[in-house]
This record gives sequence, structure tokens and C-alpha cells, in this order.
Amino acid sequence: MSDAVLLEVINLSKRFGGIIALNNVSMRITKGEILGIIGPNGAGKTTFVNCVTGIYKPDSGRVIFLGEDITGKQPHFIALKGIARTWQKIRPFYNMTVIEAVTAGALLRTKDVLKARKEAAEILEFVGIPRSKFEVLGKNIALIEHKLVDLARAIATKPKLLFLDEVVAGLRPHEVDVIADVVKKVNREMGITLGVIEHVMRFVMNISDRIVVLHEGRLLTQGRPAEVARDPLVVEAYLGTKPV
Amino acid sequence: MVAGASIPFLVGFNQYYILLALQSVIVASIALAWNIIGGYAGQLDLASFAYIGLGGILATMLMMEYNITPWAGMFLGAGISAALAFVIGYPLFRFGIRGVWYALSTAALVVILHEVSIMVLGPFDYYIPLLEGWYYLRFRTWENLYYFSLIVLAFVISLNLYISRSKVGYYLKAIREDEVAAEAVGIDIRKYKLLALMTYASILGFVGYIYIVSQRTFSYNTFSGPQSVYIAIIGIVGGLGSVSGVFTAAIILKIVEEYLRGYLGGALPGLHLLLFGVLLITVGILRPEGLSSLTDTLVKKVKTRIWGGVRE
Repeated sequence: MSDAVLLEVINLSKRFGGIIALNNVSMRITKGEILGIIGPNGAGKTTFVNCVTGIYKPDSGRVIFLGEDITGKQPHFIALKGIARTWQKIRPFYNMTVIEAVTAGALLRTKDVLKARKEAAEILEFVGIPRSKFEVLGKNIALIEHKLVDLARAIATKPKLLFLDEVVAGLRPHEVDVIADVVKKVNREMGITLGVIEHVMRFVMNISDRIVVLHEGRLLTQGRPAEVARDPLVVEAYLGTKPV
Repeated sequence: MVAGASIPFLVGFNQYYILLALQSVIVASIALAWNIIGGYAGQLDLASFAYIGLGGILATMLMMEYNITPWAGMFLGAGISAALAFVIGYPLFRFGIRGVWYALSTAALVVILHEVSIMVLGPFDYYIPLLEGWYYLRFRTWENLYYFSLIVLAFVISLNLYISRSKVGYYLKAIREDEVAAEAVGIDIRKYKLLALMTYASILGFVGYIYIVSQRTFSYNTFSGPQSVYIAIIGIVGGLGSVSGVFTAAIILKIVEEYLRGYLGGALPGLHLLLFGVLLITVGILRPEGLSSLTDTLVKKVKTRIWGGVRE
């Protein structure tokens, strides 16, 4: 693993009314790694990604991407800089065909629609959507396909860093394995650094190089997957202290 | 286009039918302009007659008061309408006004212009003076204006087709489907929505003069809320973002409305509106995605016949 820092987050905080969703979270994402971001419900994982990608404006703290301060910038600006994301709840373009949706992502780096369509087709095949599905409307495909198309749409913007927000939520076990293979391929063959927010432990422990654990808006611990899984603090955060 | 151009010959230069054709073509142009903001970008805009009134009344008043040719007036009207669209659109999009709130805000724009025009010009109601010739773009018979409006319609259709195949079209459709997701793939949603709104407004500002000439009169009631809603209805019944669907809906609805009014308007006032409503509900139940589901299949079939397959 190279040590070039891609994203540096310093003391990021975000509150909603009286609830502190993120409390002085600092972390680094290094180039080329797959970073798992885990934590119980309400730990602040999605809020963290929303603050980094500009969906929310953080109350304090700084987000530095490739040496540039991008704190509180608009989402489309951050996407242009090279951070893409997928969504916990799928956000498909229902009345556009599969290929059109991915082309819309590819158009970020080119004005040429035909070129973008070509790129979109390559990316769709890369994530495993067959050509026969390209002209199908977004409203007529299955959940697993939605996840893959959302992923393809994000990859089409040619990001350097890609956040996957609960990409396997709601899928069957064998579908989870399909996604795991695709995610690993995206990391290795395309060289995209990944931040994977996840609840499904089998998935996230399997693919991550490193894991950070958030709990009640704070950074609890970080380390290799095996270390984190044994950490008493993590077990306590998920299961509580007293035996039931 | 050829079919459109031959209509005056087919109806034997019957002025009533040519005027009906003219009005249908104007409505189709307006509805297809609406298709850019409403169909592609998905913003339920209810202010079409604010821009038509502003551009049209400006061009007509300049002609009546200062004898300035409407050729200049129409372009000026397009510019002023685009400027108004910017003044309205910038804050709306800046503060993320969308959905029903966008619709209400734009509906309010028509009412505001209606009132403001009365304040500025008094309760005005003009019949256009009998000026004739290409300089005034107004003639004793309707053919020439009809041909001119056909050219305008051809331009609006080409613009629609160009947009749907360009980067702008992909971006506007993405915004229509999901603004948050669109922004996350790098689309500057404010910029593109504003671009769509201003394009739409400038077309309407240009068409305004032709509309007023075809109506022969203009007044503060040119800023018409119901008419603006009617345009949005055509766009929705036709199918959001479908050129063939919106065009078909505009022509059919205009003719059906005219027919019902002509045959039933005298028997029981308002009956034609009732039947018109029933027709709209029927379309809503049977074809909720709009007429485009029919017309698109038809267009595809024709293309397959001609080229032996739909090309990419």
C-alpha cells in the first residue's frame, strides 16, 4: 500500500438540532486502498460521506482532497474534482434507459455524447450488465441491477475516490458475492480508491484493506479487519457491555 | 413540413381552417418550447403566458406607438423574456425551490404580470390596427403568417431534437429524474435548469407577437393563468420529453377543443369544457405516461420500414 494521502479529514463535526451526528472525526484515506467504514445504526457513517461529498455543509472541520480544501463546496464541484458516490437508498433515473443513465455520468469528462455512450457501454459490461439490458428503462430492472447501474454511473465520472454507501443492503447472499467481486475489480483494475460504508460484516471484512469504526459520531478505532473484529471497544459498541 | 405547407391548398384557402391550422401550429410551438423546461428538465412551469404576454405585447406596442417592425420587436421580446426568466429562475433555483412550489411560484408570475400591466398601462384592451405587409408581419389573409409560424415550429422541433441528443439533454433528463443524484455525478443543476428556463422563455417571447396577431387583440388578459396551465396539460398529456407525443397532443387537443366549442358551445355553454375534461381523464387513465407511448412506437415502426432497423 502506498502512503500517498488522497483524502484528509480534520476534526469534522455536524449537528442536526441537538443531535451531534459527527463529533470531531479525523481520518485519512490513502491512495489505492479499500477502506471499510462501519458502525452501528446512527453512528454517522452516511453523514460523514454526505459532508465529504458536499450534500451537507459541515459545521466545523476541514476536508482536504489531493491537497485542496473542498470543505462545504457544492456536490457537482466535488464530483468534478474526483469524488463519486453511490446511495444507500438507490437513486435510479427511472425514465431513462440504463445506458442513458450511465452516459449522463460519463458526460462529466467529455462533451461528445457518442464517446460518452461508448465509455458507458464499456463500464456497464465491466460491472456485469449484459448488452441486452442497455436499452431497458430504469424502472424495469431488478434491485441488483439498480445497484450495479448506480455503481456504473458513479464510475463513469472517472473518480479517484468512490464512496459506496451500503451497496449490498437488501441483497441475497449470492448477490452479495457478485457485488464483492465487482467492487474488488473496480479497485484493482481501475485503480479507484474506495470508501465502503457497510453493515454486512461478511462483505466488508472480506474486501477491506483497513477498517474505521464510527460510534455515536466519534471515531472509535481503526485498523486491519481482523484486529478491529476482536477489539473489545467495537464488540461493546455493537452488542453492549452487559450479558443479556 | 411538406404536409403542413400543403394544408392551405387542401382546404382551398378557406380562411377559417387556415386560422385554425395557424393556431394549432402556434400552440404546438409553445407546448414544444414548454417541453424543454417541463419535459426534459422536469420543472412544472405554469408561466408560459407571462413570457408570451411580455414579449408579444412589447413587440406589438413598439409597432403601434413607434412604427418599429415586429421583426425587431420579436427578437427584443425574446431577449426581455429571457431576462425575466433569469430574474425569476436564479433565486428559485438558488434556494432549491422545486416540485409544487416551483409550479406555484411560476403561476404567481402570470398573476403578477397581469396586475403590473394594469398598473403600468391602465386596464388596456387593444385591437391591432389594420397594418399590412411583411414589415408588420400581418396580412389580409392568414396564409403568409401560417407559413412563417410553420418555420418557427420547425425551428422549435429541431431545437428539441438537438437538445435530446446533446449533453444538455442528458443532463436535463438526469435532473428531472433525481436532482440529488444528478448533482452527485457532477451536474451543475442550477446552471442547467436556468439554461432550460431561459431557452423556453426566449422562444415564447419571440412567438408572443404571432400569437397576438392570430388572436387579433391583446389586453391585460393575455397574461392568462388558465392558458398557461393548458400548455402544461398538453406537455403532460403528450408525454414528458417526447417531441412526437407533445406535437400530436397539441394538434389534436386544439382541434378537438375547437370542434367541441363550435358544435356544442351554442347548445349548452360550458359543455365543451366538460367533454374536454372527460377526454383528458380518459388519457390519464389509459395512457398515464402520455401519448408518447403510442407515437414513439409509431415513429419506430416508420423508421424500421424505411431503414430496415432502428439505428443507434
